[in-house]
Amino acid sequence: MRSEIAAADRKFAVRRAASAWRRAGEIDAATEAAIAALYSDDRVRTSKVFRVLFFIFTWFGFSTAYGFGLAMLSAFGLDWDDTAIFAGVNMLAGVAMLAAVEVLTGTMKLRRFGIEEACVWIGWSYLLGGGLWWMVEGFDAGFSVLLISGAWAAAGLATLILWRWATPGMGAVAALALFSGLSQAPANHLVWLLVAGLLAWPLGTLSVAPHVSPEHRKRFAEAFVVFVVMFYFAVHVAVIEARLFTLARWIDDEQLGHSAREALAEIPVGATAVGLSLTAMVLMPLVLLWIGVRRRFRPALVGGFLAALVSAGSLADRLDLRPVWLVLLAGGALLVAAAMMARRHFAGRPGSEWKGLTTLPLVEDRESLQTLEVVATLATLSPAARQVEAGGFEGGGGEFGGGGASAKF
Amino acid sequence: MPPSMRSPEVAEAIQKLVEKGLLLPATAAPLLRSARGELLSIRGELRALLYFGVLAVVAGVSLLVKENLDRIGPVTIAVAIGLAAAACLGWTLRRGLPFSWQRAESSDWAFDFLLLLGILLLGADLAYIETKFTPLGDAWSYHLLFMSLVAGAFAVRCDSRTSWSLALSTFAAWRGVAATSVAQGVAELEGRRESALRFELLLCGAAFLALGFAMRRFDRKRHFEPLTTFLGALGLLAGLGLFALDPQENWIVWAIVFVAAAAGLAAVALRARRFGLFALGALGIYAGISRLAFELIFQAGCGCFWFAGSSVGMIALLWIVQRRFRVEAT
Repeated sequence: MRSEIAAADRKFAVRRAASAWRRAGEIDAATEAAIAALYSDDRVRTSKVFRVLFFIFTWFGFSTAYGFGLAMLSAFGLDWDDTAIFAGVNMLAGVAMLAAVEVLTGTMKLRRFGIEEACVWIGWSYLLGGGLWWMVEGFDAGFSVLLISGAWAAAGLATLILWRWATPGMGAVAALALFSGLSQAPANHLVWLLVAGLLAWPLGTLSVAPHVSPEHRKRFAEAFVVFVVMFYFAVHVAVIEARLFTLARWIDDEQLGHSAREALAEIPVGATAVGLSLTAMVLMPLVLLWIGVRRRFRPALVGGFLAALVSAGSLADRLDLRPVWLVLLAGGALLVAAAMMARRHFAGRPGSEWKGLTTLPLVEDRESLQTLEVVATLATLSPAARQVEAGGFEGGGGEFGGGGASAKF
Repeated sequence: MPPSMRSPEVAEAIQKLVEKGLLLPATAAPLLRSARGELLSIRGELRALLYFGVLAVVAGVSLLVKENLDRIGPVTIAVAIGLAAAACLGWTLRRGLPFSWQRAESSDWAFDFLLLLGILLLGADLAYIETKFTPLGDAWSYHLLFMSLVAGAFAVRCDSRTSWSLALSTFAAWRGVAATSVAQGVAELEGRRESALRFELLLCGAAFLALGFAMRRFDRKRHFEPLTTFLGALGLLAGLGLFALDPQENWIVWAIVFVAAAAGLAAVALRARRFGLFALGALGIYAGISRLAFELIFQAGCGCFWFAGSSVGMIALLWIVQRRFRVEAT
C-alpha cells in the first residue's frame, strides 16, 4: 500500500472516532469540526449508503458493458469458440480493471468509495475466471488440478490485492482460497490443522499491531476469523466421522468418491479420534472465550460464543436429545439466564467493569447496532403473513404465533 | 498476542488533542482506555446472547404447543405461557422509565429483548387460545391486528424500537404482507390477472407513511419515525413495482407512477439527508426507468447498451449528488 494512503487511513480513523464521540455526547460539534480539520486527508470518500450504490452500479455497469463489448468484438470477427481468445479477453479485462484501480486510488484518490472496490473484485474474478476457463477448455484439466491451481492463484492474487489496496473481503478470500488448496495436499487433515492452528495466532497479533495500517489490520482480522473457523471445522466430529478430508482427495472421481465412500463405510472411525474431536469441540470455544476475555479481543470473543453455540447444538444432536421443544426451551432459558447473570455480575461493579470488559455502551455506533437488531427481529421473529387471495381475504386455518412465532396447525 | 491495541492512531491522537486543549483530560481518559484496548464494551455480544435465547424459547414454545396440544391440556398450556409472558412484561414495566412521548429508552441492555420475549409469548398464548377455543370464530385473523396493537402499545410505553418493528410487521402480516409473500407475488406475476397482495402492499405502505408523518408532525415518538417511514416506502414501492412488472396490467401507467413515487421519495430523502431512504428511491428510479426502457430498447437488441450506459449515468448522478450535498464519509 502506498504510504500516503496508509497515512490518510490513520487520519480517517481519528475523524471517525471523533464523529462517534460527538454522537455519544462526549464532545460537541465544534470540537469535532476542529479535530476533523486537524486530521484531514486528501482522499475522496463517501458514506456507507453511497459506497454500496457505487459498488452495485459499477459492477452491474461493467458486466453489461462487457457483454456489449463481446458482442461488438464478435461483429468484428472474433471467434468466441476459440478458448484461448475468450480466456485471454477475460484475463485482459481483469488486468485492465486492476490497472484502473491504480488510477482510481492513485490519480483520483478514491478510498472506500465503492467504485474502486468494485473494480478490484471485478479484476480479481475476471482474471481468475479467464485463467480457469483456459485450463478447463484448453488443457482439459481434471477437477483436482483445477481446484489446486485455482485456489492457489486465487489466494496469491487476493494476497497481492490485500497488500496493495487492502480491499474489504480480500483477507477472508485469501484465507479461504488457501484452505481450498490445502484440502488437496498430502496429509491434508494434519496440514490443515497445523496451518490453521499455527497461523491464527500471528494473524491475530497483526490485526492489533500498531505498525500495521488500519485497513490492513481489518483484513488480518478477517483472515484470523477464517483460520479459526477452519480449525474448528477440521476438529468437528461430523467432519471426522464423514471423513471429509479423506474424501476430498477423491474429488476427481466422477461419482465424487462414491467407491471410496463405500470402502470407508466398512471401516468405523476410531473411538480415539471421535473422543479427541469431541474434546476439541468443547475446549476450543472455551479457549477462544478465554483469549477474548484476557486480551479483550472481540473476534476471539465472538468466535468463542458462536463456536459454543455450534458445539452445543452438535452435541445435542449427537446425543439425540428429545423432545426438541424441551431442548429448545432449556437451551433458550439457559442463554437468557446466562445473559441475566452477566447483567447482575457487571451491574454490581464500579463502571460496570470486569477485567477490562464493560456492559456500558462506550462510544460504539449505537445506531448501526440498533438497525442490525431491528433487521434481525424483522427477519426472524415476524409472524408469517396470512394468505391473500384475489378479491379479498379467506380464512386459511389457524396460525399460531401472533407476535412472532408462526407454526401452523 | 499483545493486548488488543484497538486503534493506536486514535490513542496517539487523543494525547495530542488533550495537549492542544481540544479534549478535557477527564473526557479523554475513558476514550484513551477504549482506544488502547484496555476497555472493551461487550454490550452487543450480551444482547446477541439474549436474542438467541429469546429465539430458542419462542421456537420451543411453538413446538411445545404444536406437539402437546392434547397431552398436557389446553388450560395448562394457556396458563403456563400466559404466566411466563406476564412475568416478562411485568419485569419490563417495573423497570421501564416513566412514560414520555419523547426518547425514554431504558439504559438496561437486557430490557428490549425481555420485552420482546414477553410480547412474543403473549402472542403465542393468544394464538393458542384462539385456535383451541376459537373465541373470534371466522374473524380469527383479527388476533394479528390485536397483537400488532398490543406490541405497538408496549413499544410506545417502553420506548422500544425493536418491539415497534415487530408491531409493524405483525400489522403487515395481518394484511397478508411479508417478505415471503412479496417474493411469491413476483413469482406469480405471469399467472394472476389480479392480485390483492399488491393493494395490500400499497395500503400498508400508505398507512406506515401516514403514521410516520404524524409522528414527525405531532412530535410523538419521533425517533420511531425513520423505521416507520422506511418500511412504508418499501411497501409502497414494492406494491407499485409489482403492478409495473405485470405484463397483463396497464404496466406503462404503473411504471410511470412507480418512477414518480421513487423520484419523490429520493428528493424528499435527500433534502432531509436520509441517505438510506434516498438509496431506496434511487434504486426505484433506476428499476422503473429500466422497466420502461427495456420494453422499447430490448426489442431492438440494445439491452446491454442500455444497462451499461444507464449504470454509468447513475454513477455520474450519484457522484454529483454526493458532492452537492457534501455527504459525510462514514
